[in-house]
Parts: sequence; structure tokens; C-alpha cells
Amino acid sequence: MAQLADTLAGGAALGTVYALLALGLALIYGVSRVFNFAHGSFFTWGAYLAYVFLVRLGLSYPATFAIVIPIMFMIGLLVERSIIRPLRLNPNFVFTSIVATLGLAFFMDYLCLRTFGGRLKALPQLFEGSVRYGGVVMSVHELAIAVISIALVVALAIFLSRSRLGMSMRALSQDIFGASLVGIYAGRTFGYTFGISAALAGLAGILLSPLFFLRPLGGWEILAKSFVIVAFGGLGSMQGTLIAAIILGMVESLITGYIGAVWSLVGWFVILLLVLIIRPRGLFGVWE
Amino acid sequence: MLEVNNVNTFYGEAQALHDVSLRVDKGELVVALGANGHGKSTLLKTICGLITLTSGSIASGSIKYKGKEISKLPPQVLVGMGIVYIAEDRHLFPYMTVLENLKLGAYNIRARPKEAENLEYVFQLFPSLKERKNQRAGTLSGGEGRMLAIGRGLMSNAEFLAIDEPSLGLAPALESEVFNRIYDINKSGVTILLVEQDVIKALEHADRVYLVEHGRIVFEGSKEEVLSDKHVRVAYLGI
Repeated sequence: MAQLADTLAGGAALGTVYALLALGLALIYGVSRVFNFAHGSFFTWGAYLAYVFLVRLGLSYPATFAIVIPIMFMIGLLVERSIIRPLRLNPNFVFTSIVATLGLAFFMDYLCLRTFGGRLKALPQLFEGSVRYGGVVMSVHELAIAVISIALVVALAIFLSRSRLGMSMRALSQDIFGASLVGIYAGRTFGYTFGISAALAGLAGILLSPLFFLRPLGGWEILAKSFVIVAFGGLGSMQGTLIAAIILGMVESLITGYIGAVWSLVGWFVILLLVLIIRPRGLFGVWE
Repeated sequence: MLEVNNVNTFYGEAQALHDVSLRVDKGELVVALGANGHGKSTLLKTICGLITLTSGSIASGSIKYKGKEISKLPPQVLVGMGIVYIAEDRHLFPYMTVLENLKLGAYNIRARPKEAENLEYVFQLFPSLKERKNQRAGTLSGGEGRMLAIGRGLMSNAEFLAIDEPSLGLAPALESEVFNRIYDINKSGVTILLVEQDVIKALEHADRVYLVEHGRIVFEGSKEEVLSDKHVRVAYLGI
């Protein structure tokens, strides 16, 4: 029984990081209608950049965060400016943007593979040791990533609802012509959206890599998981995304602990199908 | 204040405006009359820099605002200069509250310092928006939605309002209400160019009138001149 509680707690912590990933994916889709196939590659790059600064150069975690997250933000900006924005003039934008981000994902992944090789690498944990609360044992690392992730989800929610930039992102997602009427520059705002999404994905890469190892092609599973969470929680609902991510994180932990890690994504898709049969918009979806 | 000279606008191969010239002086309320599909909306979108967003282009001609050429400028810059377009189909942000929609109206840098002042004016002009400030814009009725669209435009600190068919889809009583508010806005010092099909209501407070047919300006004159014109009486008033 104690082991079950530990498994669930660890899964919930995992889920909060997945929520960051899913929100990043949903943010780009919601604001600029691009399905970003390179989302998992942003995750991977965040992890490998952290590996460079932490392991190769021996910097501390705070320094690594301070360097890697701005770099990821800049990469997101650059990707939007150089790859996505020119495609907007194309009448088949939805399709061409998918192909372009798919190509970008392969490029980023194989650049990683060439640079770092295929051998698994590891990041050190944020903190060593474990904590016990009631009967539940949790590593300090898991507790820390849950705290960081939940704080960021809350910060993102406040940013989107209160700040001028956040409001302009929502305005663009709801009526792009109306956004131009009030003076919002769509391109610039799409750029910031990509930057924020890439920074969140990169951060998630840093937080999860001490638990899973770094793999150059590991982003695809992350992309699939982010997509399942968005569909499960419902597009347009941050709360729904967080709850869905925590549930699926716990499911993953249970499957990994009692059946085998290879079955976790299978389990996720079975749950997703069941939910979509009952609620086609996802648990809390607000979008038609 | 606004001077349009010999403008030709195209959608692809199709010419929507032919050699259009008009002017709007400071403080005026000018009405461009015309039937559906004759280029009235295109005229306003051309002036407000929105034509490229609807896959059109200005082939030739000049548009001057306070003496400055603006035909090449994007709508975001024009909003900052106080040139604001109120769309016939509103283009509100449906999942945001009335208040959030209004606040986004004050997005441009020049409008930000006056946000509180303009908000007070909008609420005074449209008290029903104040009552519904925490309601989602998508749930408003047609008339309230129209008022919100106008209010959002005023929040941009508009000096020149281009209003596209304010009467569209409104019941007669609401229509009068909206036109009266537009007249109030004009009296407060905002210059207005309005396009309309509803001749009677639109002309009530108009300073000058243009008639748009097949993308051309076919008539220019005062309200009295328009109403006594035989063609207008037959084609628009049915008398």
C-alpha cells in the first residue's frame, strides 16, 4: 500500500512537468494555429544544452537555468521568424507549417545525435535525498520539479489573463483580424508565443532528464504525450490540461511500476480514446 | 483631415474601387451611401490599411491623413495615429469579457495613458456595457456587440472613426440608438466616415454625403442635395 502511494506521488510530480509541455504545445496551436511537430525537439535541446553547461562545463543548476532558458526562448523566436512566418503567405499554411515543423524536428534531433552521439547521458538531480510525509516517500528532486512546474503553470495563467502581451495572445487566438484592428502585430506576438513555448519545453527537458536519461530522439515520445494531454484535458483549458497531465502522470507511474515502462504510452492512448468517446472535447475543453 | 485621391483598389484581378477621391474635414460626419457589394467596405478598409489583410491591394492613388501619406502603412501604425476601423461583422474577442475587449482597444502606445479616461467615456456613452463588463463578449446581443465594437474603437483613442454599416442586422429601435450614439461621439470631436445602406437614418446627422456605385463615387453633396437628387430618390428611397 505504501508503495502504491509512493508510485502515485511520483507520477503526479511527473505529470506536472508534462503539463508544462502540453501547455506549450497548446499555446502555439491556440494562438497561431500551428501544430508544432518540433515541440519534442525543443525539449531535447533544452536537456542537451543543460548537459553541456552542467556536466561538461561544470556550472551550477541556477546558472544553467539562467543560460539555457533564454537560449531556448531565442531559438523559439528564431524558428517562428525564419521558418513559420514566411509560410503564412502560403494558402495551404496549415499543411505547409506541419511539414516545415516536421522537417525542423528531424533537423534538430539529428543535429543532436551528430553532436552528442547516441549513447545515453544523464543529468544530476536538482537535489539529493528524499522526503517522507505521512506514509509517502518522495525524492526531493520530484518534489522540486512539481513545485517549479506548478508555480510556472500558475504564472502562465496569470500572464495570459492579466498582462498586455498575454491578452494580445488570447486576442490573436480568438480573432486575428480583430487583433489587427486594435493595433496588435500578429507576427511579433506569434514570435513571443514560440519563444515562451520553446522555453517551457526546454525547461521541462532539464527537469525530466535526471529521471529518464537524455536521448537525441527522445522528443517524439514527449510530443506524443503532450498531444495526448492536450486532447485529454481539452484545448483551451489550462486547468483541464494540468489535471489531465497529473492523471496521466500517475497512470504512467502505475503502468511502469506494475506492468512495464513500454506499455505506458499504450495505456495513455487507451484512456484518451475512452475519454474522447464520452467527451469529444476532452475533460474540460471549451473550444468547438 | 483625410484626403483620398484617385485610388484604385484590386482583389486579385478584380477591381473593387475605381479612381475614388473623397475628403473628410476635421469634426465632420461624412456618410458614404451605397448598396451591398458596391465597394463601401472596401473603401473603408483601403483607408484604414486593412485591405492587404483581406488579400486586396491598392494599385494607385494617394491617401493623406493630416497631410501625411498613409496608403502604405499597416493598420497597427494607423491605429496609433488615431485612425480606427469599426467592422460591420464586429471582430470582437468572443471568449474575453467586455472589459477585456475594451482594455485591448487601448493596446496601442498612444491610447494607454488615456485608458481610464476613455473607459469612463465609453461606459458613460453605453451604460449597458458597464453593467455587462464581466460578461463574455460572445454572449452579447447584436446591439450590445455593436456598441462594444464602437466602444473598443473609442478606447484606441480614435480621432478618425471609419464605421462600417452600423445598422446591419439591428432592429429599428436599436439602430436609432446606435446612430444617436455615433452622433454623440461626433459631437465630442471625433471625425467620422460612415458607410451605410439605410439612407434615412444615416443621413439624419450627416454633414456631407458621397454615393458609391460599382466602386465609383458617382455623387457628392450635402444631405439636402442627395435627398433631392432624382436618381437617389428612385434607387435608394423608392419614391
